[in-house]
Amino acid sequence: MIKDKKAQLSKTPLWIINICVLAVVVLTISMVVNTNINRQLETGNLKAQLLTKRVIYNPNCYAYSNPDLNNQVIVGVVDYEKIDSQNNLETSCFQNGENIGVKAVFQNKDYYYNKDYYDEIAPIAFSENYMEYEENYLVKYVNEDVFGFEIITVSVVGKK
Amino acid sequence: MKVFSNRRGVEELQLTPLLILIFIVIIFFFLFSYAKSISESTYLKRNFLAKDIGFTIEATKISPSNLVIDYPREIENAQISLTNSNLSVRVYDEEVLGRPAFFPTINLKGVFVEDFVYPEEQGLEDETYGLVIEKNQEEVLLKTK
Repeated sequence: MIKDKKAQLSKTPLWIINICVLAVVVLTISMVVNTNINRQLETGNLKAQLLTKRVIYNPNCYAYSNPDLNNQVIVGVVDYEKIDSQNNLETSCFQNGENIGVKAVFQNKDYYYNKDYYDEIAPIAFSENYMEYEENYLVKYVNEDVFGFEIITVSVVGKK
Repeated sequence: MKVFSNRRGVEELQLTPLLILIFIVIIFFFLFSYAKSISESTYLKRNFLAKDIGFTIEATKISPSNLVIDYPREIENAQISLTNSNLSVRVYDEEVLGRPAFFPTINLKGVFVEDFVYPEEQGLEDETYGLVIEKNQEEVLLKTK
């Protein structure tokens, strides 16, 4: 209880203090409960992981499909032509992905889907509202029937 | 509030325990009603289903070949809807469709997504059904079984 100079009880009504305390308690409890419910549904960067793997394994993206074998995909082999000349990330890999940005680094060259979005979000992707995932793949690549091995790095950022 | 402004504080001291008791009752009332509303809410169910089915659909797009997935969970009391840009799940709450939970999907260019809504009309809210997710070179589609 706050006392003034004459040691009399302050005229601040007790019920105002009580209501303020009550409001703080109620808000705190609801915040804790809501945070825990959302944590139950948290999927982290799972979606970004799936999109990263799509780049390597789907023939619409970088995966090599052999025309001599009825366009059968050879898993783990990427097509140099799809990466370099067509930039398949933009032309056939992703559609309606306004909220994602993808970057692939192959032989020291960068290839993007939604480059502006990627450049904007990548520096702040550590925030809880965004997902971020990067993975290196050792791939066999085909360049005009010549095979070689190379590491390709794929990073995905986006809204959760 | 005359009783609280008593200079000697006599009445205030007598009323303080009573006020504390009233506030404790209010807090407990709030807590119980809040817990009840959460237990009756469909928020968890619809968001879980949207994410689970959505991620399964996204996973099919990794596959280089055609794929059929028999979704391992029975859908009960919920409406599933898939369009080109997102998947939505609405759960029946006392025979009325509740708010939807969305999962935005990222499509492959040139791969057509067939629109799907099930159940389409009211009155089938008690129905339990299974889902089949199919992906081939040209399209991604959902079916019931």
